[in-house]
Amino acid sequence: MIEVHPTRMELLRLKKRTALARRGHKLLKDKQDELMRQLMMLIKGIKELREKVEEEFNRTVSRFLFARAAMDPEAVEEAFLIPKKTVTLEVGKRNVMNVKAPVFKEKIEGDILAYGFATTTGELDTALLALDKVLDKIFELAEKEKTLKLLANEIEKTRRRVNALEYILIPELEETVKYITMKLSEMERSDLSRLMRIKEIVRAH
Amino acid sequence: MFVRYPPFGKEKTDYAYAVGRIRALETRLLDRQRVERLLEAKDAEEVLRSLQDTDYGAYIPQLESPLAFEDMLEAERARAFELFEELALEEELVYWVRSFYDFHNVKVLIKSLIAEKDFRYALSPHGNIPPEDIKAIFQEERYDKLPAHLQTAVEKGISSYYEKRDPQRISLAVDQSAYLYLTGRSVRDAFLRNYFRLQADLLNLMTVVRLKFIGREDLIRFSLLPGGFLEIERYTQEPLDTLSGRLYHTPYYAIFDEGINSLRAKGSFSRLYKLMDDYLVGYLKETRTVALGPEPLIAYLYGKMNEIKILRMIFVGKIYHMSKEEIKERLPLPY
Repeated sequence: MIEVHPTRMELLRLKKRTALARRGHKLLKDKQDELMRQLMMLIKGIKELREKVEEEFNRTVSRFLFARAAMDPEAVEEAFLIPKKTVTLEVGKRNVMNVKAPVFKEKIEGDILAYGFATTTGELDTALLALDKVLDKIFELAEKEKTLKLLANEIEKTRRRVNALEYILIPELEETVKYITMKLSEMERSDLSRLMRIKEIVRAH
Repeated sequence: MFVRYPPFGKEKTDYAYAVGRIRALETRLLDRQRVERLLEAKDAEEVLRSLQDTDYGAYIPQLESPLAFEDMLEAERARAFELFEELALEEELVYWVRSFYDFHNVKVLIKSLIAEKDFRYALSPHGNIPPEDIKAIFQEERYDKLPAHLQTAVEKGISSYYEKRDPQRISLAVDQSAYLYLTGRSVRDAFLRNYFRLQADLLNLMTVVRLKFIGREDLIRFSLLPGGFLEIERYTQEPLDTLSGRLYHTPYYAIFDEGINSLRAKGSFSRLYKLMDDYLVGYLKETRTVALGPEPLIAYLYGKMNEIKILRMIFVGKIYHMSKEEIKERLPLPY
């Protein structure tokens, strides 16, 4: 219970606070539900995408490593000394239920094949080109997973607020309102009985 | 054109001792059965254990884990070079073999110059000029200290880069210079020169196939190596479907016929590269009938490199849990 003076002013103030807390609770609950809906939608897409990316990536990496094994180590080092491909990533923002979700805009330029063909193998070409294809999906996955993380954090925060309102603040306010109401009625009753007693004493004289 | 392999030099009696030693060492090379046993191993650790009684056994105690297998392979490669140097009676022979790595170092140093970065880690220690010396030559820009063939390579490498400011052109131009030298008259050992000529042919055909397969035919004209037996320009316009047919009269027909079919069916170059490596190993094996001469020595060195490649692929395959069949498909035959 909140420590307050049991006055009518306080009662009015607390009643207003209770109404506000209830309204806030409803709004936050709605926000939590919507965030949850968005999260579930995102999770479904991410699960599929992650499985796909992981499968493709693992396959590509093992292809790359095996391709590398067929070459002299120094030839591998030389092949990748100066890459021609550049990746620029612009990060924008989009508002999802007040969550600033990132929007990646990648700009990929140049050729992934930046080496000579005498000391490298065709297996390396196909592995790198496959890796190149996975790259777009990796960006998409990163964007979605970051959004998912931010949404999950926001849900956690909202849930804490909803719970605080539902289980702490609103019951406390209600209890205090009840206490003040009872205290005021009690005071009213004692005033009345005091008055009646005074009236009796006055009459007896 | 020759039927399967080009002929090479005459016998040289001076090499009696060297050939004797090589013949003894050849028995310690990994054979097919041993490679098969390594493929059966359940992991890289077991591969390492199976190598205990081979030439590699001496390096195993120093390895912290099977993941450090590259240290072992590198040590064995260095040992093979040392042995070659010890047994080769002509210094030039060592010089020609090591030249390949000089060209590699030239590529690295030109790239280092262009990128203004220190790429020391990519330099090879197997060249004729020690890495620190060749690096100093580039730092001081005293290219006149380099032999003529490397000077040309530097010149071509740098000028090719500035044509389009494309680092790939450095590798392409220096590789061309390398093969021009290695297949040219300066290399006065017929066996070695032919080995590089065969390599040039196969690498050129492979480049044509690679670039056609990935739809980058525009790069073909910059990428072909000089010095092969074939007039490669005759094959560059040929579509992938009919390329092997055009090679019918050459010794490379079988490689490209089967290899391209496998490439089209599976989308993988494994078979093609395996067949190419096998063909070159076959050339090295021709020296088995040479009783006296430097050829068995050269063949042993390249045979050893082939063996190192086989082991590297087995280790990588086992570390990354690839199936025996997947690894085997790409493994060249041992020498």
